[in-house]
Amino acid sequence: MDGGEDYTFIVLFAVMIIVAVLLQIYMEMKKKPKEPKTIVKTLLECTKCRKREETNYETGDVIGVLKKKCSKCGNPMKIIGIYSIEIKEKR
Amino acid sequence: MPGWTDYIGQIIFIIFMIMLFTGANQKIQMKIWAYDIRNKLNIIKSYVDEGRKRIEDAMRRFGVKEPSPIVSKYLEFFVIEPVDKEPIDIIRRLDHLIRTRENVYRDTLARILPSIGKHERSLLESSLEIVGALNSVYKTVRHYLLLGEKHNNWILLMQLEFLMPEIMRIVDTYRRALDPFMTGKPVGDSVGPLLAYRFIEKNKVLSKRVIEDTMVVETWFEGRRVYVVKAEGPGSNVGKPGKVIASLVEELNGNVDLVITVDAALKLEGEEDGEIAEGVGAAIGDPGPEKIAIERATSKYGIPLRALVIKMGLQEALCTMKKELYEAVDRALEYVERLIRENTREGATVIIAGIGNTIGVP
Repeated sequence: MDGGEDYTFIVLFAVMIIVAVLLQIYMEMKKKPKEPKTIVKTLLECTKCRKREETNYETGDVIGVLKKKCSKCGNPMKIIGIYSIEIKEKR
Repeated sequence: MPGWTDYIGQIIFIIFMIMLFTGANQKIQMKIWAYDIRNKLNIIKSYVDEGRKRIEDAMRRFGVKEPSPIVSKYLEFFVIEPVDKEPIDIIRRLDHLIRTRENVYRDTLARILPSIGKHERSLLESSLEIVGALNSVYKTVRHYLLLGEKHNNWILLMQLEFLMPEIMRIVDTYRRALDPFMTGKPVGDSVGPLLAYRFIEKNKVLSKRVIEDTMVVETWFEGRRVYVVKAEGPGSNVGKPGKVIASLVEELNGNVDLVITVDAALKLEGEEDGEIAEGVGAAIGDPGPEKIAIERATSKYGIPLRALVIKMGLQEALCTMKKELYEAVDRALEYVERLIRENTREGATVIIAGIGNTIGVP
């Protein structure tokens, strides 16, 4: 192995690194901000037995509104909270 | 004998030296920055167009045949700040401009959309403000990009390039905020009104009235008369809590033992969402008129003014309320009750103000 082959290897290696860096920069530029996945939940509470239930948010849900009947005592359930929960992605 | 790689090495070295002395490397760097900024600018433009389309679709659903010119008008709407070289009566002038702006928005939307309720109109109004903010960021970034390219000002482009991650973070927050404001879900900033609502729900209500889009509910809590002040919901509304507190204090001839303001506050990096902190002063993030009204009213009669804040990031404040913040409201409510017990005796009069946008909270 002479000095010329060593030099060839270095030049090729440098070119590969430059290409990789440029590719990385290009991909970084095109990337849109990553949005965390969330789900919106509606929290209901029975007006009598205080049983709580979490359901998926539906259009028109507003805090303080009576929405459905309690599965335990049959009394109306009131919306007491609307909030979002972040869904953690499995790796 | 030198090989081909030696010649390539020499050529690369010569090119490198020429670029270094002629400034061509900076030009290449400038092109890369401009390319990156332009890509991000296109993303911002897509957000503006997306928001605009959502608002126009909503207006069409409400019966507006040609919503595009109306939306365009609001996207370009501006307010000229009052003269601050002469500070005398600046608060009154600022308040006047804020009110005029609100009236222009409300009256125009009421004229265009007479068939829909106040609640839906307020949601459209706030959505227009969000898309207007996005449009303003888009135009500002475009201005500096074009200016930098026009004058080969690589320092301007460099500054813009390094600011772009922060700008994109803010833009992304506004884009995500459009969903709760279009659909009426509570946002992080609603923690104050939600706490006020919970307090009203928990205690006996003696009277209720609405002044300037702001509710004043008189309640009875453990032998104390507690006036709860919050914006009238569930539309997108922040009300006029400062003016209402000031008029309430005057109405009670200053016989108020404690004023507590509760609001969302931007956290510092490293702090947790939903952290509660107590302090002194008016916890309200308005441009000035509301805050000064509370300060003037309480200082006039020497009423202790306490503040309670629930901490969150900008994104959390403008997007749908996170569960952590919802749970923090319960803790903050207990805190407020403890503050009242510790600082006042039975028979006292207290004012609690839940500051913030009451969207999704009645």
